Amino acid sequence: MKIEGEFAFDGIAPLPVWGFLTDANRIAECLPGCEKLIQTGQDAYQMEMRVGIGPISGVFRGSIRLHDLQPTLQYQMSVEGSGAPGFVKGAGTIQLAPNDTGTLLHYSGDITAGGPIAGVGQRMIGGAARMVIDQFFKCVAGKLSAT
Amino acid sequence: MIAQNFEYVVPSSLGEAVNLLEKHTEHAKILAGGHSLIPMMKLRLATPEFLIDISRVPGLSYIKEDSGTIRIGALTTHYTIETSDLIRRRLPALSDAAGLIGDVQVRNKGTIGGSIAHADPAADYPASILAADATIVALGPKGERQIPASKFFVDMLTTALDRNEIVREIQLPVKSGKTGSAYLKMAQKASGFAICGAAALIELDGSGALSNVAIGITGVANHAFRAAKTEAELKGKKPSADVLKKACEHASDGVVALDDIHASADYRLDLARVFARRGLEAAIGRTA
Repeated sequence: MKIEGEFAFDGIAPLPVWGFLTDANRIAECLPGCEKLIQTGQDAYQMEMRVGIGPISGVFRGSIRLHDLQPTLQYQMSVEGSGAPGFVKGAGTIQLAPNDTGTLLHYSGDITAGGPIAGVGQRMIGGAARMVIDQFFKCVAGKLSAT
Repeated sequence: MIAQNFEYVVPSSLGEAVNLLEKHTEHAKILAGGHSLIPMMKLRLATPEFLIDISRVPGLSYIKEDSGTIRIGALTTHYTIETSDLIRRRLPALSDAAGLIGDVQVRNKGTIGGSIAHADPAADYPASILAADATIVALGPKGERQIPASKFFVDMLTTALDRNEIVREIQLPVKSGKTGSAYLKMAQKASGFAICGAAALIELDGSGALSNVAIGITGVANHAFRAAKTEAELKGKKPSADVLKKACEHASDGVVALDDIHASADYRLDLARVFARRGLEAAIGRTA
């Protein structure tokens, strides 16, 4: 399933946004339900995340890898996770561009899911991903404008 | 699959249910008709440790009207709403929605309170409830709270209810005069869930112009929404076919749509435009 969207960081330049999004400790501060995020190599991380959307909840364990980094412009991200509700895999591109008021972030990617979540949750996976992504970026913007 | 082990409690009042919820907040879920929660538990997508079954709490299944407001108890089933003369006469959009939910078994057991608290993005009621400017009455540890429908549906499976609050009643203001309402949907064939559902409520003045227009749309985005731009464009106008068509082109402006194997985002946005128009036509056709 394709997923695409934008997020505007008002009053924040691309450099601090880039710095935040490529720093494991900072990502962990904002990733909803993040219980563990440890660096396992160059731009590779292991994570444990408790996802809770309404009655659906479960712990996902998996990995995140950032690659093809072009500082302050764009990078690619691959995510893999599995837990009791099933597994989720995703890959996408994050692009940053300065605009009049700060930074405009654009994300696009593809998500696949399997297990029980794919059966019943198929129609909700895209929306759920967008919800988590939105919460994440809102938190990032909040932390960056507070500093 | 079989659900994970859980404890099952049957409170005798809503107040007792709130206390239990307060005590086990993190791990408890309220069970009403069980037609959304139980399937999720069987797939182990939901794994509550405490199930608080309020289905036997007395006095929560009713439909009544007083001074221009219809009050529906949280445990009123879809079937009761579908077949209520009062609702059919005063707010047919809600009868339509109730009658189009799932199948007979679901309508016999499922409840309006349970459905809206669950807030499935493809549920039928939210379109009519939003369009009718309903108020949701919730009971919590500090007493009752009134939540306007416009603030209730926050996101996918997420409402304005606190973790220790339970829906007690749905209040729907109804007008007398030249009014009409309807709910139409395009359903996913296997599940019956709405790919797009539109509820329209209208009121005509003496000259035949639209003095009030409300359109609620469900199934298209993470949560139901009002087609505000279309409503604004139509207000005060006589609803000719051309006027309706033109205004409904904006029914899904600015909406981020869901996208799955059953319907792409663009298709859903287009369905919203088409069903807003058909809903309005049906509502106008019902004005007495």
